[in-house]
Parts: sequence; structure tokens; C-alpha cells
Amino acid sequence: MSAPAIALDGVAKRYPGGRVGLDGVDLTVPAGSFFGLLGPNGAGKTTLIGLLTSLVRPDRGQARVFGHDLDGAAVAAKECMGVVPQEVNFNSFEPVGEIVETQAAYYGLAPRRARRRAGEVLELVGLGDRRHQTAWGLSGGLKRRLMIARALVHEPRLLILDEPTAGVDLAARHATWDLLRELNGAGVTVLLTTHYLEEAEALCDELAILDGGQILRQGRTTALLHGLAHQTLVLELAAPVWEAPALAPATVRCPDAWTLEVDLGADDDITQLFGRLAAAGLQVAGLRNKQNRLESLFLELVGQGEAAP
Amino acid sequence: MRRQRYWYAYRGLVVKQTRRFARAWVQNLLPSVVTAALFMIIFGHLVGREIAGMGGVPYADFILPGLILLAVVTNAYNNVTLAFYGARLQRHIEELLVAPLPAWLIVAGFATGGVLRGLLAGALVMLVAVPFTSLQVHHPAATLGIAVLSALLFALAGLINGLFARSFDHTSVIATFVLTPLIYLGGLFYPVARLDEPWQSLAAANPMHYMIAGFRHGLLGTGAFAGTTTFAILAAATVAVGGLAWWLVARGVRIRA
Repeated sequence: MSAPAIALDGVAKRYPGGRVGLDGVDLTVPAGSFFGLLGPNGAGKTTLIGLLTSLVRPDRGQARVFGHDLDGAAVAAKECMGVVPQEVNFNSFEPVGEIVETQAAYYGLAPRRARRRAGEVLELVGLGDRRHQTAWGLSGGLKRRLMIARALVHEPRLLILDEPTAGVDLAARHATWDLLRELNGAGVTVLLTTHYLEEAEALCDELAILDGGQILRQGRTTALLHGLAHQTLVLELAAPVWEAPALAPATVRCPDAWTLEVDLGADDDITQLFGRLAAAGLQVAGLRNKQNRLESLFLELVGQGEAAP
Repeated sequence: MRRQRYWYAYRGLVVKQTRRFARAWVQNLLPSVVTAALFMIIFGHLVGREIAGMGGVPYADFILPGLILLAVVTNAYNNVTLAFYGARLQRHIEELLVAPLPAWLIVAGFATGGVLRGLLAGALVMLVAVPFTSLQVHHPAATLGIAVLSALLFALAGLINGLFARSFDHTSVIATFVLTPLIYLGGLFYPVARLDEPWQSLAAANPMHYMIAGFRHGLLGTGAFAGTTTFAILAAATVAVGGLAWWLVARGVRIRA
């Protein structure tokens, strides 16, 4: 069995002033997975990524990347990783191609190969025609794409992305999703933090929810969503109703004549709900979740007061 | 295999640093040349005509080695200070920190960039001085050795400054208030031997004095030169400052949370 892409064992970090970054985190990211790391602001996501990329020094605990100890074999561990940080962190006065080529050199690629790989990854992210342009002139979305290209230039086995689609328009976001899916399909393990829960639900096959520097829940996305305590379905009716019908044990509200909101518990059967709707003579024209299911799980775990992941 | 990868990484870092100062050559290289040219015109040519030769050579020739060394060390120092501080400020130091690079390689890459700029500035000053002096390099190996070691020493010191600087003001404090006075008082414009006590003893404690004296001897073939002492002081200081710079970067002081 191959070593997990990431294995954290009791990792803790406290910043000067006493703020807790991480509080004894145990985390396993299986090799080849698409792993989402979620949590409210200040939960410890960026600290965790900083720790993996050695920008943050842990106070205690052990971190391994593909079996390489980040303390004892940092060079071997870093060779496996590509990192896309949350904030722009390249020299904006340099041309786009130079930024990627230089990063390739840092990972030990010979100049000719570095040039070739820079061209390939810039094409991949749609920046092939901007190779000689100074990075300063790129839009926010293009700067993020440049950072993705830079992270991919040495063909890493593990790609770490800290909110890669924040502030990016919808089309660019979907293009990034497609690229990440393609990379993951090719065997690259992806660790992603995001504020967009629909993004995490759409992309990630494994999730961990972090808060206060601790992992609250970790597992396969489907398993976590099955464990939701309740969900609210919004039913669009084919004909109007004037009061909420009784569909016990589900709770029903009628925000307007054409819409019903039905709260279902974890054990409630959605087939039985439709049976009761039919018995009440109601015809359903459309159905959707009121909240993204992952959002519901997130709020359930971290509390309504901290809605921003 | 790893050695080759490190070589490419080092090369990449040096190319980046060289491009950085070459892109803004007017800002980075020209001031030293203009300053040296003005010194040569005013003190070497206009005022120097009224001064009898010093140390057995015309005054313009006498001050030239100090002016070259001033350009070498200030350029080496400033280059690394600003490059490292800028990398911290813009956070592209993270490109290096996340990459599989040992601390010594990061220090070596920045220092080499500083040495290259220092030597280039020194060479340009030397070139500008040609019309004003009867320049002949008497001991090329000693001249080059002192220039390279001085540039390396101050490039490494500049890295430490860049690590600790909290603002752009902090990047120029040491160069302005420590480095330049030490060079000016280290015998740039006069032979230290002519000073009265206690100034002569104080000058002997100034490391720049040995560098200037050694460089002057290498360039002009004049003056007393304790070669072993000069090189030993320079090498010891370089190893000490380089060791400190490596330790600070390896520990992640001011660059890792």
C-alpha cells in the first residue's frame, strides 16, 4: 500500500500572542484523492498549508508527505509538492515566462527543460500568449492562473491550492475546476481549501472540516453528507396551495402559494414524502435543496454564527 | 544528481538576481559611476592638481582604489539588502522557501547576485577613471581577490540587513550611517599613516582600512600591504557573516511564521 500523500500526526502551532493556529491535528490525505479542507476564517486552514509548505514552523507533531518527514527529509517532501497560495506571491515586475522558468530552476530542471515546461504549463492555463508580458499587467484571475502554472511546472505529485478561485469569474472558475479534475484524473493528489462550498462538493471526494485549529469531521464527501442531521427541500408546486399541508413527520412551511419548504430529518425517507404529497393531491414541478448540502453540514458543525467558511 | 539539481537552482537564482539589477541599471549602476566621476573630476583633477602626490602617486590615482572599493561594497550590500527585503515585502521569498532548496543555496544565490553587481559597478568606475589617471593594475590576483572577498562580505551582510529590515528606511540605514563613513575614514582620501594618535589606532580598528590599503597596493603597487593579514581578516569576517546569514535563513528568522 502506498504512503498517503499527507499524514499529520498531532501537529500543533501557536502564534506569538497565544493565538492557536493548529491544536493537535491528525489528518490523512490519501494518495490520488481530491481533498477539500474547509473551515471558517481563522480555522487554521492556511496555517496547515503553511506548515506543509514549510512557511510555518510547527511547535510539535509530525508531518509527512508521501512518507517523507517534513522535518528530517524536507527536500524530498518539497520535491513532491506544488503550491498555489492564497495571495499573489510572485515578483510582479518580472515577465510571466520568467516567473515560471525560475520556479522550474528552483526545482532542479535544466534550463532548456525549464523553458519547455514553462511553455507547456502556460499553454495549459491559457497564458501561452502572455509569456513575455510583465505579470503586473495581468488581471486577478490571470494572476491566479499564473500561480497554478508555476505550481505545476515541475510536475508535482501533490498540488496544494489555498482558495484558488477566490475572486475569479464564473467561467474562469469552471475552467480551473476542469483543469483540477484533469490533473486529479491523471493521478495528482489535490488538496484544496475554498470558501465556495459548492466547489468543494462538486470537486472533492474527501473532506475535512477544521475549526479552532482542530479537525471537526473528516471522511468521504458522500459519507459526510449522508450524516446530515436534517436538510430542507424546496418544492415548486404545479398548482397553488393556500396553507401548508400536513406531511408528518416532516415539518412543512408555505412561504408562498407555489412553494413548500420541507424539513427532513436524517432518517426521513424522501420516497415516503412524495407518497404523502401525492396523497394530499399535490403535484411537484420542481425540487431543490434550500441550502447546499455541504453548507448545511458546515453550519451544523461550526455554528450559524460563523457562516463564512 | 542532487548536485546537478542544486546547480540549476543556484543558476536560476543568480540569473533572477542579475536580471533584477540589470533591468533597472540606471537606478542600480549609474549612481556609483556618476559619483565616482564627480570625485575624480573635483578631487582628482581640479583640486588634485593643487595637491602634491600622495603615497608616491598622483592624488587622482591615490583616491581611485578607494572609490572603486566604495562602489564594489555599497553595490554588493545594497543589492542584496533590497533584493531580500523586496522578496519579503512582495512575498516572493516564498517561491524559494517552498522549493526544495537548502538555506545555504538561497544565501549563496543572493550573495552571488550582490557580488556580480558590486564587481560590475567597480569595473565601470575603473573605466570612468581611465581619462583621469595613469591606471595600471600591478597585482591583478590580489586586486581581484580583495574585490571579490569584500563584495562577498558585504553582500552577506546586506542579506542580514534585508532579513531584519521592517521598512525601506531600514534598508539604507547601515549603508548610509555605518558603511560609507567607515570607507571614508578608512583611508580613501588620505594615507592612515599620516594621522596622529589616537586616530591612527582607531583607523587600525576599521576593517575597511585593510581592504582599501590592500586594494590600493594591488592596483597601484604602492604602500605597505600585509597580504596575509588582509586576506585573513577578510576571509574570517566573510565566514562569520556568511555563517550567521545561513543560520538565520535556515532557522527561518523573519521569513517563516
